[in-house]
Amino acid sequence: MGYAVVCRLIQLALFLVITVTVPLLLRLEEVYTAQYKDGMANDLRRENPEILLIGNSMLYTRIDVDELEKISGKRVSMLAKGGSASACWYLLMKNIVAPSGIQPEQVIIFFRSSILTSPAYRTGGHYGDYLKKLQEKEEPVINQILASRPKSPFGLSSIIQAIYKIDSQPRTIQSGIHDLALDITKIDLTKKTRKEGMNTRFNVDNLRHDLTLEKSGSDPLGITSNKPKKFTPAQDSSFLPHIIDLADTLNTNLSFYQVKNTLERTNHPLQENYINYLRDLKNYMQSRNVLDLEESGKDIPNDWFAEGDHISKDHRIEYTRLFWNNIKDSLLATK
Amino acid sequence: MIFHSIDYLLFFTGVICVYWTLNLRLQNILLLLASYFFYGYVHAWYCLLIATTTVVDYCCARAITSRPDRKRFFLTISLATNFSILCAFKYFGFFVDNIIAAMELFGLDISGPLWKVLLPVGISFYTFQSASYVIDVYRGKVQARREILDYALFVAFFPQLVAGPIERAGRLLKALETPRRFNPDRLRSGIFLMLWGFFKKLVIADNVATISNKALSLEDPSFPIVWGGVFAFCIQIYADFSAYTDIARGTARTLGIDICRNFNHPYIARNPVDFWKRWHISLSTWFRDYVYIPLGGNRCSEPRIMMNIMLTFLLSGLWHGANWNFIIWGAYHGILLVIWRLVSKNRPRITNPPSLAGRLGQWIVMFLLVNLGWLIFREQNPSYLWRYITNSPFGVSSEEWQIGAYFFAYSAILALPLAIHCWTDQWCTGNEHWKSRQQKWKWVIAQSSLAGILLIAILLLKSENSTEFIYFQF
Repeated sequence: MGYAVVCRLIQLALFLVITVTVPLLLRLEEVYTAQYKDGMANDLRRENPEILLIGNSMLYTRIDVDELEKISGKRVSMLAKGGSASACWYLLMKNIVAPSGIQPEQVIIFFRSSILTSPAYRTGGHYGDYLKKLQEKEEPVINQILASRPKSPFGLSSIIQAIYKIDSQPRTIQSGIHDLALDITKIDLTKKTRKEGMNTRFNVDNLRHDLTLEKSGSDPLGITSNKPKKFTPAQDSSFLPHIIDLADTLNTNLSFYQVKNTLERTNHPLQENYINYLRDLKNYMQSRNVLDLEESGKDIPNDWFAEGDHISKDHRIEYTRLFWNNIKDSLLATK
Repeated sequence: MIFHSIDYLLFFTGVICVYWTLNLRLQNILLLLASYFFYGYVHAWYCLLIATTTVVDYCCARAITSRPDRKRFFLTISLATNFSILCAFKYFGFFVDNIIAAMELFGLDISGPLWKVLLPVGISFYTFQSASYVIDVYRGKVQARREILDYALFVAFFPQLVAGPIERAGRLLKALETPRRFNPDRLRSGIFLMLWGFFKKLVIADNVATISNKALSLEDPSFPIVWGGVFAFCIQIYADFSAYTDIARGTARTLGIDICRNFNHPYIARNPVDFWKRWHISLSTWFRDYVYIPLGGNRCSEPRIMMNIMLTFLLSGLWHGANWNFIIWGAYHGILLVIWRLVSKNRPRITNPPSLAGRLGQWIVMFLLVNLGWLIFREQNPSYLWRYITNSPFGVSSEEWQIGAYFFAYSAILALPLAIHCWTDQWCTGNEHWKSRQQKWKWVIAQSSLAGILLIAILLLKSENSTEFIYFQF
């Protein structure tokens, strides 16, 4: 092997080493803060609800809190975060509801498809950032369950994660790009007003009705195709048993309200594994003495729906009434 | 298998490690097995389709050589088989839906099939590649190969199988038959090109996709929001598609094989002809060589030339997808080319302005026209397309203008690396001094640091909503 070839091989090795080591310079540790959680718990303490609703956009596009208070005669609060899933709901119960000291008569968690037993669903990226806001310094259950996620071949994802600590990196550069774009296009409104304005403008109520979940490709859980994995309520691989345990500790009645996904409400033939999954889920809930409620798909006209499985703002009050009529007897029976 | 996955990273590493320990024949066998594994990774039956195309075209090409008196017959068999498979999978649903719609116009209520045909990824790309080989053999430009293994690899070569570039036998097949020697510099530059591709896809394309998806998912978007979203899509589609090409070229380069360039900074084009010399070059040249020129090309009367242009671009639009918006998009670009041809013949001063301001104006107009084309390309619902195009810029609130401007600014910031790359690429092209520097130590360290920065950017800035490459659907 000649000198020139050796040089080129060393250059190649140098290239590979520098390429993979440069990103190590940016390993930063995350900073813990309790401020956000404390604020939420204080709000909840002040509201002192008798009915507490927890969920994601399936909840806040369905229920009008004022209307529900009016027709139920009870104080109602809502902890709803768009795109949230079981990990978030577990943290809300553990780190917001429990420390607030409130004792609602009913806690109702809205869910869809197999989301209750898909622990890793929406725990990365900005969903992960939100979860961090809700976490304590030590979260053994979260760490244990997320560690049991399906592994990539040879655990390569975990290795990359361990080396570069991607999840712990502050997302300052990403938000910096957004802020820079907002700054250079500022005319009269402040950045905060514009961000709030955009949230309102792109609210699910203003989205096109013809763009379904399937088209946007945001169906990693098989929500629309109904292909969940087998039902698994094990303590180390699902947040569901922990959520039920927390409700027991709080001495509150816990209910789960299943909203129908696109295929369920359009009477599309459901796959056998999904039917089995729902059966096992219901059996499990019965065995743990929690109430399982479900949306009555046939009573909801198609024109009530906005984008995907959300209810349009024009029909939210009607839906809230339907919801209350549908569940009130079951709730009263649990008292 | 998709490029931006851990599975691909492992697959690629495994292939490359074994590959360079083998001789040419074994290298090609490994690549063929790897290509079929890559293609059938999600749906194994895809392999059956590509194998059918391969066998039919191989046999037809051999028959064309051995029976020159019946060569037209064998060419017809090959093309009929290729395009029947393509039509069955890609256009069946489209034709059925349109027949049903036409029947409804006459008051006939018929129901279509309940099942949908799943479109195998990359079918349009490898069908065109394989067809070009048979046509080239028919024309006597390329010799029919005896070795089916090499030919099968030419059709299924995994780096460019799913979204091109559409290669020609004269180039790729020849490269696959030529012995390849391990070259550390090529491996280095191949990995760098792949990283650049991953950066374009995961950081630029996927992040601006959130803007375009957001803007064009509103029920009643105002003028600035629509065009902010269209600008974002304009960046997205280029970053996305050229990223695929870069990863494909980078992968092939690490294997010692050069595949053609598919893009040459299309958004600096100042006229439609220039744009099509820079955008999806392998498809444009395919249509030029196998459709436009056989129709008569430029060697006929002016009305006939215009008809040839229109027909070629209508087919090019249809190639992209089984939907009317793609056909309209093709027609739109055909019209632009026809108008450009008429203007450049009659008003050469307009098409070739002497001043810088004139050229700048020309570039701006072309860029806006390309954006209008992307709106047609993206929006499959005709009523929304019409609504977007006819949106008035007047009477729009300040808030809406600021949202649109923010979309524009955010996309432009993310597109900055593309602009820098364009500038450096233009500067480096033809600069021999630059080329000679590439093996110097300083250059290696600079390139490595840049690769490290790209890797940091990918790790920190990659979008949470990573999607498949846009051109997978074609």
